[in-house]
Amino acid sequence: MITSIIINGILIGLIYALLAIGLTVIFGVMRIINMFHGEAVMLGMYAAFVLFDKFGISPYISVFLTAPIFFVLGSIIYKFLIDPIPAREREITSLIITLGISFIFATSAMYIWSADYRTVTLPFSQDVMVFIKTRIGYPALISSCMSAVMIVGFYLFMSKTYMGRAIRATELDKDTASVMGVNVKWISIATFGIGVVLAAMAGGILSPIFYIYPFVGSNFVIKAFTIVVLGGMGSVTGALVGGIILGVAEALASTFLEYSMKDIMAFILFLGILLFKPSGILGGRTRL
Amino acid sequence: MLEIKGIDSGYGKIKVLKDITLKIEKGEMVALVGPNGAGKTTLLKTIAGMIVPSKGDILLEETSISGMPPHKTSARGIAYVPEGRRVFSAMSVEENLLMGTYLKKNRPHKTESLRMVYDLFPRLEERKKQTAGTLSGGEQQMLAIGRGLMMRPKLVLLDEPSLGLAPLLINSIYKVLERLNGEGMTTLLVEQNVKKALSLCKRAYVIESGEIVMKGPSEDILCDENVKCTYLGI
Ligand SMILES: Nc1ncnc2c1ncn2[C@@H]1O[C@H](COP(=O)(O)OP(=O)(O)OP(=O)(O)O)[C@@H](O)[C@H]1O
Ligand SMILES: [Mg+2]
Repeated sequence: MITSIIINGILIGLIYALLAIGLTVIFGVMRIINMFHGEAVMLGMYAAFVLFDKFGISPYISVFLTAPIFFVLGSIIYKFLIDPIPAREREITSLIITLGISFIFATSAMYIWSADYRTVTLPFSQDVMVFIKTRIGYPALISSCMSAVMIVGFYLFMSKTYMGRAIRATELDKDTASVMGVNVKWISIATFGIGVVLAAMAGGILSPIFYIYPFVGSNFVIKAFTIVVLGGMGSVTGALVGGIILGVAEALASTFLEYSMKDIMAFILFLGILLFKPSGILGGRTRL
Repeated sequence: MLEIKGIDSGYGKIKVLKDITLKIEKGEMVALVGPNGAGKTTLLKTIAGMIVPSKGDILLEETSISGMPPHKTSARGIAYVPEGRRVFSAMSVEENLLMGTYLKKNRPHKTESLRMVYDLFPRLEERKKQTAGTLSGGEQQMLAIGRGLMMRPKLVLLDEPSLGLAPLLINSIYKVLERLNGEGMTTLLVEQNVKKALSLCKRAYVIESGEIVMKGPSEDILCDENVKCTYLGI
């Protein structure tokens, strides 16, 4: 039984990791605590829901179709609302501004789609496969595998492409990056856009296995922050490890304690890591 | 190649440079020397576009680059190798060098450029997978210079390449600079190590409290009584 709990924990952990990557990259490069992240997940879920409901497009496909829209949305938010903030007051002001944007989007979602819980029910939603005596639902399996592929893809983007390396260089030393020919302002806008796309894609991928409602974002943003703190700010591998730890911790808590304990695991891990290893489990330096 | 016409520059309200005029011909290697806090780094940063001068003009090959941001001046062919080995610490040696080919026009020459830098600094090739932050100070300086050369620049601005390095390493870095100058690279070299800089460069400027106080052939500057007692301790 314990193996099946862990396997399910790892599967959900992979999706959590994808959820956190956009947040960690935005924080790493721009030192912005992006409270809008959760609402980007929520919008991604609704986008997947609408496209499935109206046109029958599977969320696993529609996340790619909507990605450009979310990139533009993120870029606009950064360019017009965050970039104008003076450098001195960046961290705190950006937190308040992104929080404000979150409220606007969550309330609008409430207005447009009402507070009803929505679901994306795929033809194979009830199907399960059995793997080492573990029952795994098909949607969860597909969502996890897709998250894993996207995490690997993002890692390769950050390590092997000019733009990925420029994002990392900007994170490490803006001035020197600009001397290399990097347009730091443009890279910041693009990084924010990419962060929002990753959150929305995670939302779309989550939509077949989670309820969709207007305030679902706050639930996910807490998980994402926990993972970022666990894995170290700005680290992709850290987010992967942190996501899996959270997934497994939640699975264990809901089995051995009580189902309702599941959602406070994030807080417990969050406080624990801040008390005992504030630099994150993988250590302090900004690694990819 | 580079012409600086009466610029004033500084940081916000703090004025550092006053009416600086300076000229470098193509293929020349010119030294800029002066005491701590004289404004040498400020001048290089102004040329690279990290600071906008409040007065005067900067011309690169007859076109004004004054007020251009650094990502544009680098595209025009300026490579600034900053003071204090500013390598990208969490990236590998090779990733650091590849940042030097970030500009689109340099990307196709990536392999040759890496070959050239590895030939100049074989140590970097041995350590290409290592994280730059874990290199020794001297290796980091080689990396910072190598990364600048990857940009295939028209003009290199070198800020104190010998700072904090052992004499043996300084000599090897200077050998590389001499060789590159022989191949026609134009360089503005900032140094505290006046003797060393003046032995390498044919011409030099002396800057003190933000003003050029002397300029001319290196031999003349080395003979000057003031320079002798202030910088050479004779
Ligand atoms: N970011 C900054 N903000 C305000 N003042 C600065 C800044 N950087 C340098 N200064 C001041 O400008 C003056 C010139 O500094 P600069 O770094 O150009 O000197 P330098 O000739 O390069 O000295 P060193 O040989 O020590 O490197 C100094 O008085 C310094 O305090
Ligand atoms: Mg200096």
